[in-house]
Amino acid sequence: MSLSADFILMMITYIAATAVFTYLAVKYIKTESPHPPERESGRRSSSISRITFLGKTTWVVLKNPLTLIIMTTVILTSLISGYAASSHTSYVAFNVESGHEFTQAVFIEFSHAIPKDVAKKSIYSLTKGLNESEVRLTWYARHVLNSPIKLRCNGNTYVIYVLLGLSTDELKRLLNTSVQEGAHELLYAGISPTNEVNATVIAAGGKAFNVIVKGIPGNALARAEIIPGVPLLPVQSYIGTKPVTPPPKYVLVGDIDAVNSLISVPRDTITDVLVVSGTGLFNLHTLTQLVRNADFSRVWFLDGRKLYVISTVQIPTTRSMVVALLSSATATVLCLAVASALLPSLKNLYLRLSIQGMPPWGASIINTAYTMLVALVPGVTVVLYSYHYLGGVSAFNSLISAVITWALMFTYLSLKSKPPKLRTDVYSPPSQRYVIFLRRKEITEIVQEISRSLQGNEFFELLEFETKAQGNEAVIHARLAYIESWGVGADMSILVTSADEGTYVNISCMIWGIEEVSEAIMNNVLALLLSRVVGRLKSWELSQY
Amino acid sequence: MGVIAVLTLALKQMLRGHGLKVCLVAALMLAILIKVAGDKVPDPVLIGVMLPASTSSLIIDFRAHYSMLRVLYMVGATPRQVKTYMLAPSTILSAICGAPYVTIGAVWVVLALILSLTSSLTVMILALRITKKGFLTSVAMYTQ
Repeated sequence: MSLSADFILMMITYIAATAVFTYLAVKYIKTESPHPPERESGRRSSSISRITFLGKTTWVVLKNPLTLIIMTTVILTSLISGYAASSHTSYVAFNVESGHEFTQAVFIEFSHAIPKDVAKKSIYSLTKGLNESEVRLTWYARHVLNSPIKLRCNGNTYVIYVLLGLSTDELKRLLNTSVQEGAHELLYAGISPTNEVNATVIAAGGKAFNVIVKGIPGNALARAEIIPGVPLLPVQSYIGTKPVTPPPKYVLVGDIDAVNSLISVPRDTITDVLVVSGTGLFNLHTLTQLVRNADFSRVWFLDGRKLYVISTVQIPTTRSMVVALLSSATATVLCLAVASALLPSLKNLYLRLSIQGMPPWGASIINTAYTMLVALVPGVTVVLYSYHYLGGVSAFNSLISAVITWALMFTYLSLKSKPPKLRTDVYSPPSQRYVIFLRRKEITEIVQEISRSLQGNEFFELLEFETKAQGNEAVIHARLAYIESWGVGADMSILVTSADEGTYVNISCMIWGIEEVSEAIMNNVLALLLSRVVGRLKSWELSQY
Repeated sequence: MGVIAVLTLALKQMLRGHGLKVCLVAALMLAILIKVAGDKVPDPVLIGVMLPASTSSLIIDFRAHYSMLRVLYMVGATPRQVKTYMLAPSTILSAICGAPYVTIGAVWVVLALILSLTSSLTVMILALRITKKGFLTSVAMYTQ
């Protein structure tokens, strides 16, 4: 099966996208994994619950009817972009030496070996107006072998990578030699040009053929050109504009059918054709259309002293790119209008969730998931549709539209959905100290209550807990690890003093981190810890009265 | 308060909001798209873009329209006046969104206008329903 350029492009896009997502997933798991205390404490993994929480929140946002408008917009604009895509065929022109025998000639390389009849049909059907009387077709079978065959003659073994099958006339024209048809006569540049020896060809499957091998000058084979600028030996690559061909010692030349029989290819199978017209029938535009056919790999067009190398690679036109950008702009304007209507409820949701302990990056993840689901997923669906029904260039155009729309929408939502407090209000960090007055006087019970508040906490793992009570005072020291983020914890010192009318509880906290931790997370941890102890004590006291 | 006053209110509301601007930009881009790629893109796909265009132009000012409908109820506007307020932005925005389709053909323009008006009116009816629900709830709470 041959691979088209479009298929390769899509495959690269797919692999790149998969690699990026895999990398992000691995990165996320690595960040989240080191929480051994959770397993010991028998609680559910916070990563799973967090993913569930983020997924549920995204679903809540996704259920909004406005989502449907965004999805419709993305689908329609991507479709417009795909339908309006246009491409042109790239070609390169060279000047060649004058004095050759053709006025106009077209050399077509097929993408794979095909029967002569099929090739003839596709050429005549595509170049409308041509018929057999106006053009002369010359066939070639140039096989580049994946598994080499062996040639044994004069006690030596030669490795053959290329088989060249030519008609008798072409052998005469290009190499000034001939072979006897149907006699398994072959030409080889690795032996003396005057030699004619019996030899054995061992095919890739181990099958042996007895042949007669005649010598041929290696230089003549290397220099032979089908038309000026197109070497007889198959071009493997280019260095600049100079074609690179296999060395003649790896090439075996013969009659088309003789060559085909060596590699078990049916008779009349060819790989290239030379179409010669004496009346100037061809034009470049028709030929650029010709290469859009999947059967053709490359076309050389000789027109007087000009040689055009027409490639099968399709390049999007400027107009096509303009349409893609316009579609993206239209989609972006409409999606942002809808997103701005969505923003108040989104902000409200994030504010409520952040009060309940959602870290700041939670909103970013929800935004990413949401925009991907409403913009990228429909966009990619349209890309697949375009690729399947309209072609690679259309798919590329649709992809551009979808990605630009998604990127701009994501940027807009990320910037605007942040709670305004974080950007505009005066920053007020939570206090590190807190004093609470309780009407109850039992110091031991208060210490026990503080201990209970720190144990069984969903945010913190209690690492150390020390207490010393003496007279009317008790001192507590606790060290806690923050479960939600690795390497972050808190040291807490509490002084409980009994007075005449009740008990004073002085709480002071210090947040620490092994790695550099942002101030926002530090303050979040501090607020969570203080509120945990203070809330517990207040509710405990209320329940007593 | 007559119909003219309601129309003036609706126009002022539109000029103050973002919907008209969004609609104008979208219509301009659609016109360029139709000019550049109209011959290649199937007409239903081009017409389809008008639906989100007109809908999003109204949705961006949804709260403003909702508030205005609420005010109209509070000042005791007649159903005719409420209908006038609902129809005015829908018709203007639909007409602007449908304008680029003139180049495609008369049938498509009519179809585009009908679709656009239907989608815009759906949004306005939604706003009205929310207004009615909220208004009645607040009245019930007040009377209790």
